Order: sequence, then C-alpha cells, then structure tokens
Amino acid sequence: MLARFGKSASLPYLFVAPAVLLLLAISAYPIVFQFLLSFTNLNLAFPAEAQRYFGNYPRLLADPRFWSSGVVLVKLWLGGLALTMLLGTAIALAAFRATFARRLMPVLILPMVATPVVMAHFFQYLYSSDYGLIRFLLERVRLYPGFNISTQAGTVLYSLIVIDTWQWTPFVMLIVWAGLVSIPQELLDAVRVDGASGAATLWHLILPAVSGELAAAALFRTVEGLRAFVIIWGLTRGGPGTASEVTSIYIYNTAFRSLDLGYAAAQGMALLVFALAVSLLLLRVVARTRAQ
Amino acid sequence: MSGAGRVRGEAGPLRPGGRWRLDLGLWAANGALVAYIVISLVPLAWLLITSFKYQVDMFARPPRLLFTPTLDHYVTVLGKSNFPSYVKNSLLAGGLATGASLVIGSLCAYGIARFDFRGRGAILLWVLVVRLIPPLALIIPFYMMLRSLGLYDTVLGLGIVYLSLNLPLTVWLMTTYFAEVPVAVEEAAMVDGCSRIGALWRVVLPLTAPGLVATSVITLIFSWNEFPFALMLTAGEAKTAPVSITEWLVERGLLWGELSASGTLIILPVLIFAAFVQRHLVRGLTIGAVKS
Repeated sequence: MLARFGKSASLPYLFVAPAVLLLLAISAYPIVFQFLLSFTNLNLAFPAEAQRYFGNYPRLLADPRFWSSGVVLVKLWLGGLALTMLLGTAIALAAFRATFARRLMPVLILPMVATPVVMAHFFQYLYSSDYGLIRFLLERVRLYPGFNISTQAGTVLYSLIVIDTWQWTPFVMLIVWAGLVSIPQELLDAVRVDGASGAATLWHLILPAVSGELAAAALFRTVEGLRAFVIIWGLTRGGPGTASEVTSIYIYNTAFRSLDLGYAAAQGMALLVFALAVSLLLLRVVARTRAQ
Repeated sequence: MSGAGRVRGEAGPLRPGGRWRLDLGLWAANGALVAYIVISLVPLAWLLITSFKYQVDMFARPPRLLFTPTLDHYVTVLGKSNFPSYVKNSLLAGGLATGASLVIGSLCAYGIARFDFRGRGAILLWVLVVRLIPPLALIIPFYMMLRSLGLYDTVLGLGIVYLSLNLPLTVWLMTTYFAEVPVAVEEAAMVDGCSRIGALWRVVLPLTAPGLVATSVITLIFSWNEFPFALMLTAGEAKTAPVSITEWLVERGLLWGELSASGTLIILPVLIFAAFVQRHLVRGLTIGAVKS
C-alpha cells in the first residue's frame, strides 16, 4: 500500500489541482462537447447551416459500413492479441531459460518503439510483389502465396496482423518475463527434485504463477488494439475498398474527407463507449486475477 | 526491480550441485531467442540499408544486399526539403508537452502518493480512463477546440494536445516512483528542519531522479512517435516529422530512398533513447502496472 501522512485538509488539493483542472479541460470537456456535437448536422462544407439534428445515431445503427468497420476492428484486435500473447509468452519462456537474455533486451524492444507510421509505410515497400524483401524471403522457403497480401481484400488483415505481431510481441514478452524471473527459485527446484515433467511444470506451476502478468499483457494489448489507426493508415489507408477500414479510419474519412462532423462525432462517441466498456471490463478481470 | 539480484538464466548449464553436460533445452532456448531477435530486426535493418541505395539497387530483383552506397537521399532530405523544420516542430511540441506534464504531473503524483484525501481514488481512476480512450474517439472535439482557439496548425496547440496525452502517463508513473521513496526519509528531513516543500525538493526529488528522467524520456518518445493528432491537427506550418513521411509517397511518386532516409533519421534517436530507458519502458507502456 502507499504510504500516506499529513493532517492539513487543503494541502493535498494544492498538489493535485493543476493536473485535475487540466485533465477535466482536455477529457471531460471534449467528451461533453462531442456528445452535443453528435446531435447536430454540422458539415464543414456548410458550417452556417448547422442545426440540431437527432438523425446521427439512427443513421449509425443502419450504416453497414460502420458495422463492418467494427467487425474489422474486432478481427484485427483479437488476431493480434492471440498471436502476440502466444509468441510473446513463448519467447519469454525461451528468454527465461536462455543464457544471455538480459543483454539482448535493449535490442529486443526496438520494434516496439520504432516510429509506427514510418514502419507502416516502409512495410508497403517490404510487401511489394515486385521488389519487396518479404516476397523474396517467402519464395526462398516456398511460402510465397503468389501475390502481395497487403493489397488483396481477402488477405489484407493478415498483413496488418503480421505488423502488429512484429511490433508488440516484445511488449508481451517483457511483461511475462518480468513475472517469470520473480517466481521463487526454491519452488522451481522443489518441483525439479520431485521429478515433474517439463510440460507439467509449465502448465501447473509456471503459467499459473504468471497469470497476473498474462492478464495485464492482454489488457494493454487490448487498449492498444482498440486504438488501431496508424499502422492501417500507413499500409493501406483502409483499403483495398473498405477491407481494412477500422472504425477509427472510418471516423477519419467521415470527418476529414466527407467533412460530416456531426455524424463523425456520433461515430466517435460509439467508439469511445465500446473501447471504454471492453477495457474496463478487462480491467476488472485483471484486478481480480492479481488479487488472487 | 524484480529479479535484480537473481539472474537465474545466466547460471546456465552449471547449476549448484550440477555438472557440465550438453543441455538441449538451454540450446533450444538460446537458439529460439536469437532467431526471433534476428527476424524481428530485419525490417529495421532493411530500412537503414534502403536509405543508402541508389534507385537501381532499390528496385532490383531479387533484393540486393551488396550495392554501392550513396548519401544522396540524406542530402535531399536534410538539404532540399522541409524535413528539418518538421523535426523542429516535433521537438518543440514534444519538449513543451514533456516539460509541462513533468511539472504538473509530478506535483499531482506526489499528492496522490503521500496524502490520503477525498477524491484520491477518483483521480487515479479518471487518469486511467483517459488513457483508455482511442485517439480517434475524441479527435473531432479537439479539432473544433483548436480551431476556435486559433491554435489549429500551431506548435503550441499540438504541444497542449500532447500535454493532455502525457499527463495521465506522468501522473501514474511518478506516483509509482514517489511511492517507492520511504516516508521515513522525508520525515527525517522534516525533523531536521526542512519544510515539506524543502524536503520534496532536496530529498524526495533527488531520490526519484531516475524515475523523472525515465518518465521524461518516455513521454518524449511517445510525443515524437505520435501520429493521428499530428496528422489531423496540423496542416503545413506545424507539421511534425512523422506526418511528413507520407510526402515522399504521395506528392512525387514512390521515393523509397527519401522515405527510408527520413524514416531512419526519425527512428534512430528513438532507438538510442529507448535502449537507455529500456527497464522503465514497460512500466511506461502499462502506466506503472507492470515493473520490469
């Protein structure tokens, strides 16, 4: 628990006041503002004609492009979540066993911090079916499907999940690894003396011991997954067609291409509610897992 | 730091009471870790390589590893484009946001870590909720607010937005760092005649200096890498370096050389800084929930 002291009733408020006021100004106010905006038909092409309008939410519910953007978002989120969790945990177990893991950490984290929009654009070059490195490498191992997977509607989501996995596996790995190294050595030794098999130790001892870390990793991958925008914008802009258009890309198109700000505000509210609902629900699960 | 004094893996095949023998599991773990890291570094290495390639080598099939290097693209990017001024914008907006959020956020974090007061839990929860919101879910009110304040496409406006993104992170991170300083240290200083502010300034802040440095480096990296807000809240004047990446693809065709050169210049400083704060990075990305 945090240590606390102090009797003065007003002193703590002096410390937190500037941050709290600023936070209200930059979060509570925009949320209220957007909520009000979502009940107007403000269009930046004709700003003078804006008036009260209740049609945005019914339109949202009946808009197939909005629903399909949500489906794409969920697919990318769950696909990336599953792959990064599996691979990240596997690499963490390898690092736990390996001789020089600690010295390799600074190199391992690089994909996670490399400016995403730069890498997303550069992946266009890597994926190219004419001169891309990925085609060449896949041909070497006879896995090249014969076309650029980032430009076909049927496979574009895989190409995005590949980048997501490349970028975020180190993150899951680091969290799980932090949990692994804090398992008491005596416990592992005791199990070894008892002659438990590797698989049994992993399943009954190691994985339960890091369940809190696994839950935390899943939570933060979810927060990140629901923010999906940059990688998609950089690689496909939501295309081909709307095959990789997540809700955030649709909001961008509605607001800054169609200039339909009232409708975009309603879409923003929907994304806000969805992201908060999913994240807070997971947060409760994480809190419960860690309390156990 | 969990595991600081307990570098288990490094004991390797020679365990207490053990003997030298060929440990297959260990070699498999080492191999898997190295293979993973090599593969994950390929995209970054290829970006660097491409930035030194002439067009003819860039579009070669199969891709070439041996080629005559050139600095042409760097000359173009640094000498014949607006890239340097975009870098300046990035640095100014990021620096402004980092400085301000460090002062305001640390004060708030200190109040939260050291005092028990009504609303303390609510502040922490609200700060967390702000962090869970996808950027596109609130981009429209931000856009409207900056326009009406005359701050659209200004470095100051972008800096304020980045402050709002960094503040929750700074509050959570610094709260965990302050909580790690024993209250007794502070009480001792106050017994010796320091005022509370004096104790904070002379005793607590020096003890949290590593945390302060790590927090500022992390917020600088996040601001530097930020893309959606920079894309939609700037036009030309305050455009940041990551946003300028698209210019090489859109305006004059596919200039992969210039894209790679400016991309390398954007990414390289991040990689260097990230390697230094690597141990704090996970804490940063999970707003203090996970320490590594």
